Amino acid sequence: MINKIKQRYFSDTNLYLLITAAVLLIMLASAWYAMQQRQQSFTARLSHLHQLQLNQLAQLNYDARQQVMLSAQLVAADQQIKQLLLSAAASYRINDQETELGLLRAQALPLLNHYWQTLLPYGASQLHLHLAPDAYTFLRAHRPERHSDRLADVRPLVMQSLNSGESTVGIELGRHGLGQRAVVPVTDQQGKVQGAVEFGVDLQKAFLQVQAGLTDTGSDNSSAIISMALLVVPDITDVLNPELQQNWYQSEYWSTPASFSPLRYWLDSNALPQQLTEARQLQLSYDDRDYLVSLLPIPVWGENQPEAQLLSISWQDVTAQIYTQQKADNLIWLIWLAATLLLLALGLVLVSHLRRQAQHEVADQQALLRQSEQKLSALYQLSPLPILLNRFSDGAYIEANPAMEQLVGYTPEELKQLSYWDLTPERYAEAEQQQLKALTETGRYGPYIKQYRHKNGELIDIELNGVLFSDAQDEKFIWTIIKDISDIKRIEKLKDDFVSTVSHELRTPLTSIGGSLGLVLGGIGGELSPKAEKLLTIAHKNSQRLNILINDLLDIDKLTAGKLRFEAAPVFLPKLLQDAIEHNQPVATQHAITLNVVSCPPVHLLVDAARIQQVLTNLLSNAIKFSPANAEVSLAAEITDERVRISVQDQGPGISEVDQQRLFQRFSQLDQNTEQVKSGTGLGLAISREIVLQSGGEIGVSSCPGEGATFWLELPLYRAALPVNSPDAILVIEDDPDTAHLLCEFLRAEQYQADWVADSQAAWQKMAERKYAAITLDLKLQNENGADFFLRLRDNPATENLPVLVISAHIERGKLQLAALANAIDWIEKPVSPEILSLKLGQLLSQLPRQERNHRILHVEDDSDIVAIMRLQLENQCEYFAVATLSQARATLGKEHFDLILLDLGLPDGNGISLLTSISETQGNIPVVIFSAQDVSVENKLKVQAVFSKSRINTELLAKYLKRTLTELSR
Amino acid sequence: MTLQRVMHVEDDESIRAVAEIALTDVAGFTLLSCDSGQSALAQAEAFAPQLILLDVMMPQMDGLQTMAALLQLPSLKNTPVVFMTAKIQQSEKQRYLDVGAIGIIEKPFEPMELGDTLSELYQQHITS
Repeated sequence: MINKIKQRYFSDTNLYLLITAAVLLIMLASAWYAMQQRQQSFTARLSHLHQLQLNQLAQLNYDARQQVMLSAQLVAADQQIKQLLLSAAASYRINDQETELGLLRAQALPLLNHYWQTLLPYGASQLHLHLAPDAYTFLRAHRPERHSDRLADVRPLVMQSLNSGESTVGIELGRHGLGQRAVVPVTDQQGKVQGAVEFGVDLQKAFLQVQAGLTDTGSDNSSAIISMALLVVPDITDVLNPELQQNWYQSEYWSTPASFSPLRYWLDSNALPQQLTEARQLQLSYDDRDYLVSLLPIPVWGENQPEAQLLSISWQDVTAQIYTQQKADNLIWLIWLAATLLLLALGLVLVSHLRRQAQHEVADQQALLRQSEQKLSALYQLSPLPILLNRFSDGAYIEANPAMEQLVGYTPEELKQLSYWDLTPERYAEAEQQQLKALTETGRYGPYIKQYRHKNGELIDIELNGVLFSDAQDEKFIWTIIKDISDIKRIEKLKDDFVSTVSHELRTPLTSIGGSLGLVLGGIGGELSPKAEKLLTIAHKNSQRLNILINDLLDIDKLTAGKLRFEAAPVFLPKLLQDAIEHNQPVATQHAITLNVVSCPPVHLLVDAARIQQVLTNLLSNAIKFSPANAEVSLAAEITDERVRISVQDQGPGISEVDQQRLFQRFSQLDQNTEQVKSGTGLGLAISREIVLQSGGEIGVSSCPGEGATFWLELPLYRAALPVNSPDAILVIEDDPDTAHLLCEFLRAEQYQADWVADSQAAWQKMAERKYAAITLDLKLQNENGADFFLRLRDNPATENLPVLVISAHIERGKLQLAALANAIDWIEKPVSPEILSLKLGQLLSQLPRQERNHRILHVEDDSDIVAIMRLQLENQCEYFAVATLSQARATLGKEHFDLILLDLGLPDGNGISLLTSISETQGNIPVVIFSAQDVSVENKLKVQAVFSKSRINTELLAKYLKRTLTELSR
Repeated sequence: MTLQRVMHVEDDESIRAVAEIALTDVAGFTLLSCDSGQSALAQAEAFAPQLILLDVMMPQMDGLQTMAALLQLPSLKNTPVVFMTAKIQQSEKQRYLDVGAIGIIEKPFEPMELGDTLSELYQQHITS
């Protein structure tokens, strides 16, 4: 996952781009920050001069305020002037006595003039005396001839002072220009304001001085020239004298000529702020030059414009400084860039170096990989086995080795053009699906035998084995190794022909040899001398032996080739063993050997009985042959898990471990120096082994030399397929414990529950405790005659209908005694066979439900003999119907209901299997039992209750099975 | 009716000789022994056998072909046929029975019992 992300997003190019971008970003950010800092310090340095200027302006303003206020107070404090002012105010109040006022003015003028002359060197521009209430100008010190006007009433400072009786001070802008003014009121003894002294200085000159001072400071450096101007904002120049108005901007008082142009330009382009509350600095440009501009707001009192603001503006051409700064900046940028590039280069070199190193390692690994790839590729190219690569999704041929070309005639290039089905005949489509399933489920397939179509059209037999794998892009492919098995197939056929021919050709002379010998020994050629007869007998026996050898050879050949059919069916194990003993009894007697069954659980095996009998016979005859006279050969069986282990134990010489290993190989008769010539072909155990293996079992031997040998085989156990509900309980009343044990075993094997009691008293007790479906009764009981017990059973209402199976050695006598009362009773003569017990008990039990309702069986069968036999077997148990064709069966099924269908397959108008659908449609889920000579596929076997082969089971057993099935149904 | 006239067709001379003794000296039949299918065809009608004993593997005409040809002859139409074969596959036995043979005798056979076996087969055949 991580590798994939790396591969997708971190290719070489991308990685380098990423590193470059990161370095550039970091360098840019740091450079930008540094430049910001540099710019700020540069601006600070420039503005220092301006700050100085502003400070001086502020100082000037402050000084002027102090000066004018002190001066005004000084004049107002003069008692003579005050008296004259009060008198003037009194005369002015009583109707404007001009004469009187003139006299008073004349007296006041020298007094006032004295102050005026004193103050003039300090920049005094005004010294006025005003009278209340309307600022009547009583006297102007600098122009005594002008008086008696009321021009001051529009000047807020004067009016404010007259009205409030307080001193006022401030900068005033009026028709006389800009001045710092102070007005001090003069009051009479009652404290009433009668007039005021106004004193003012001209500020313009003072500003000019400040500017000159600043300019001088930087005279040694042209770049330090600072221009300065005073502006009134808003523009209230219309209140000024026309003369002043005209010179407002041009006057040398208001601005220096050199600085006019930029200021005009800034004013016109609204680059300057309108209202300011504190000092401010700006950087502005004009005519491709850069200026640093400082602004200081000063409150002023304008005529009729009390809120006007005076802006002191100073500016300095800083183009040169900025240029220098920029030059330095550029240089710094350049260095920075160089440093960045260097760093970047270093970084990239380092990274690429590291990568190269890694790539070297990868290259080394790749070289190793290539080597191993070359090895594999050589293997692939030189492989005598064709190897093929197909794409999983569509089967397209991707690659093939030269051997493939030899096999199918197509070059690898031609192969790539082919579709999958060009090579594989279409008839393999279904088989291919199965292999494909195996491939997807397990990741591999094969061995899969099929054919390829050669380029020349011939079919080639091949065997395939393959694996599934995914490449890096998750696309799936199939590697297949192909084996050309056409030679094997050819040889197989040759061998088959050979075996068949040889067996014929060998038998033909053998027939006449054996035949001739048989005839001669039979006396056809006349009387034989004892010697001749002995010799001819040997010859005859050996010709027979030769024939057995040929038969064995053919057997083993067919077995190993899987050509022998096995028909597995449930086989009752005790019967199998008993039969084996019986078959081999003559030989055993001949060798004075005792055969016996030591133990045998009453279970069924699922095997081909004839084949297993062949194996048992082989093992037994071996055991007999190798045992000393009067020895014992025992047969035993036990259940292990899902299997039954049957063992044959002898008291022969035993078999060494080395011999045990090759015992089951063909022709491996042991070369023992026994005098007893053991007749045999050496194939018996090999054949047995094949049979057992193909029956799904195992075979083996355990032995120690000198201690006999035990051959064993394990075979699959058959579990009854019949549904077993709660099994019926059977009470066994039997005084012989051995017989009772056997009976119980038999019953349990048939899925009954069995309880045993030895006498009638215990039987009554048991019957009180538990409800039994039936009892088995021995007529000879310890405490009571069985017949008497039976009579008492029938007298008792609870047990009057209880089925009773009488098991006795003397049933004829018993039958005589009980004949009259024979309801629900049946008889078995000792010794008891499990089949009879099961059959009779089944019949007894099924008699009860029969009284309620008869089961209906439909038998579809065209053989009238079989129908007749089955009818005989079944008709007193159920209603038996038979039809001979499919069409009749369909018609009957459509009309009537049945409990069970017995079905033959080979019918005149088709296969009985085709009826299964109609049966389930019309009858629902009822048991279907197939009884036919035909084979039934596994798939169909699963659809029916049971399948019986006509060659394997007789009608009696079938009927027994059907009755049992019906009995199960009625429960 | 008991079996008396038997025709035996067998290409192997030795087997023919053994069978001849077995069927004449031992069993007491009247025997016509033929060494090929063709020779059997030529003599069959004249001999009028009650039962035909046929070897299966013979050159030129094999047992089945010989049987088919013989049963074409009008007078032999219902004559029972018994095959004698060295091949013992169950499927093959069934095949011969299917085409109408009444029995199969395996090689090597027991010459002292051959006649009895044929008589038995013949009796079974005519009673059914």
